[in-house]
Amino acid sequence: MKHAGPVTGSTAQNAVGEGRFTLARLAVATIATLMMLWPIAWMVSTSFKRPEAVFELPPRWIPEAPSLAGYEVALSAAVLRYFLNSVIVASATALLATGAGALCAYGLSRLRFRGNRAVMLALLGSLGLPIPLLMVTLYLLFFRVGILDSYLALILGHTVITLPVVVWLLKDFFDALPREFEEAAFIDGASPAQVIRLVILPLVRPGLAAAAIFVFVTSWNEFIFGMTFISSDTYRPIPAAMGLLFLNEFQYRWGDTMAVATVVTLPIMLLFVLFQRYFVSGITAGAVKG
Amino acid sequence: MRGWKSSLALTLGLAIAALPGTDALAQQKTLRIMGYQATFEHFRPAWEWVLEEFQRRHPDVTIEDIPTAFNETLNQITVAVLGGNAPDIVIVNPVWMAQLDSLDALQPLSGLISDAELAKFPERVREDLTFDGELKALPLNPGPIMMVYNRDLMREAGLDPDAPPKTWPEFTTAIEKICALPDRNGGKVSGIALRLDRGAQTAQWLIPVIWGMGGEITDSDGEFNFTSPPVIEALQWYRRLVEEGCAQPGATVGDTRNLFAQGRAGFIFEGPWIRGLVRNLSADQLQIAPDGNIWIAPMPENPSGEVRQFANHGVIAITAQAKDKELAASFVDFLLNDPDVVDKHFEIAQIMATGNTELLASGAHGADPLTQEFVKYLPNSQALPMQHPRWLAAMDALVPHIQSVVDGADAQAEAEQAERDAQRALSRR
Repeated sequence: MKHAGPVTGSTAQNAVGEGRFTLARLAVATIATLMMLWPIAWMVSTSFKRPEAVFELPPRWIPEAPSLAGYEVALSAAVLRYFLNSVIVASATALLATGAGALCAYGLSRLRFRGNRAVMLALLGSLGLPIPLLMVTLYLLFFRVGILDSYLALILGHTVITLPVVVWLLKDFFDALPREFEEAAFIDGASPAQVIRLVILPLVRPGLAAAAIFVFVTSWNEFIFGMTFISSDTYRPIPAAMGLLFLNEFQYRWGDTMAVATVVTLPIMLLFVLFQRYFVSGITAGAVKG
Repeated sequence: MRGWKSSLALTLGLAIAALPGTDALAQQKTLRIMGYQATFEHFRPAWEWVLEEFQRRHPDVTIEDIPTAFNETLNQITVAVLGGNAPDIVIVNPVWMAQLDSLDALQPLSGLISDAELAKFPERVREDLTFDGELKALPLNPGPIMMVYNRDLMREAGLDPDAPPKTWPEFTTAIEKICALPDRNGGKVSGIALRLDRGAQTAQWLIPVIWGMGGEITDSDGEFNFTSPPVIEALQWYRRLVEEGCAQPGATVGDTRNLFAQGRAGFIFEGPWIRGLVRNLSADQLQIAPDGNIWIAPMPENPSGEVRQFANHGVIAITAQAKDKELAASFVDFLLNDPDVVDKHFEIAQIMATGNTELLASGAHGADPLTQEFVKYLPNSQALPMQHPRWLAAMDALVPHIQSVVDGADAQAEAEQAERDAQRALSRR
């Protein structure tokens, strides 16, 4: 129990020092936040501009004659179709990669076998494979099995590039879990599948959420596979569609581009807002094991 | 139970009977086309019309158009070729062709399109598209690069807009006079809109300037050369313009075009697509016409009095993996050599829609003064100073050195290092 005592000179100085430190931290955080928000604010501002106002000098934050034309494009049936495709692909990839990654990570954490470490290193090493090399190999494989131009091609492709990170992330979580939980469940008569489903997975929920969010965001933003594996509008995800709609030599529809970008950023922002607690605790818990 | 089975048998029987005849299915052909054509807004309506018209004339053919983002087109085609799933036809830029040819991706056109038809395309252009003695593509959207200039700024700077600069010193003087004009539209007036960003195009578009200084980018043995006096002169010309504030350092393709369309640059080097660009970017504020706001002229002549035009064509090629090469050839022939198709294509897109010189001189092309200016210089235009699969990598290696010179580094030393880097890029496998 602490007793309130007289305020000495040194504690007053400490309080002033701490106050200054807090102010400095707040200032740095504010500047950093502003720097990160700046391009987002510019994106939103441009989304309301007409083509001729985009490169206006001096630039204006609030356009003189705001236009909603960009949002008509962003909310058109065609763009919503691409949006839906991205939702399907990113959600399915998040489920598949997180599910497969969790099982793989659990096995690597709990089963002692020769080459355990080599598997982890191989997974880590696979992150160094250049995407173009991977792309040609996957394209050839998907062409041979006849799944090019389908959701499955994208889901599998995105799973391939995210799985190593998921395994590494979740293995740390499983390593940190005391084995006594599983042993107690086994003694109570649970099968291995029940142990994983009813005991282990609920305990690593923050890790699973963090992994799923990571996979979802990676899949949502992925461009090259979406462009290469998909040739029809039926399955094309939003980044590839934006590439085709706007990113060309004669680009001038910056207002439309930014309106679409604003709309497609919303699900990601929503995801972070809703699962921020899980995401932050997931990442930090995975980072400090033991 | 028996009733259920009978119903199923009847349903299956009816479904099979309702299917198209196997003969009809066997006769239906698919033509797969990959390229950026449908992604350029001012090309798209014309391209869609072309595809519909071909299918109307060939009811047994279905076209599968696979759009690619311009900067991703080479990668997309390369992956499809390596994956054994190449489309039948590709629309590409000539600088990508050497890489595709090194993969044996392209089909020679002789034997598929008659020699008489092929001879209608300018010889110089055919040379650019000939690999190992075989013509492997034809120009769909020819792109001789001309000096596009702002007539209003010329007049304001005390220059005669009807007498654009003819020599390189005259050109430099005109740029400097225009960039001395007072600020407008919220910014400084640039004498010229030059591409100076980190992209390979910055090096590619230095080539016409090197030619203008009387130089080449290859030596007499056809080897890459970036240290000749005209190259150094071209680099120093870039630096001088940037130092004087007459060109914007780091400007991307988009920046240069926006600057020009805002009426804040005197000159820009562009092709026949300039009409669509200016129309879209200036929201119809600037008119392209001999007596309008914008007009074009040939590149200034080099010290020997020779005018050399750089080119950036859109070309069409048949792939070696095409399943029905005759069908692919019939599409190319329809697109480039049918007068009605070419005219309609041009009327919708407002851009040169063939390299066939007979058709360029007649019909809708023949009646358009802007197009005829470009047509005049098409036979003289060159797209590829060197046919090498790693040409773009070499161009990419030059860019940091061009930017260093622009920033004030020694031109000779940078050119020597640039040459070494580019040669290393060319020698990689």
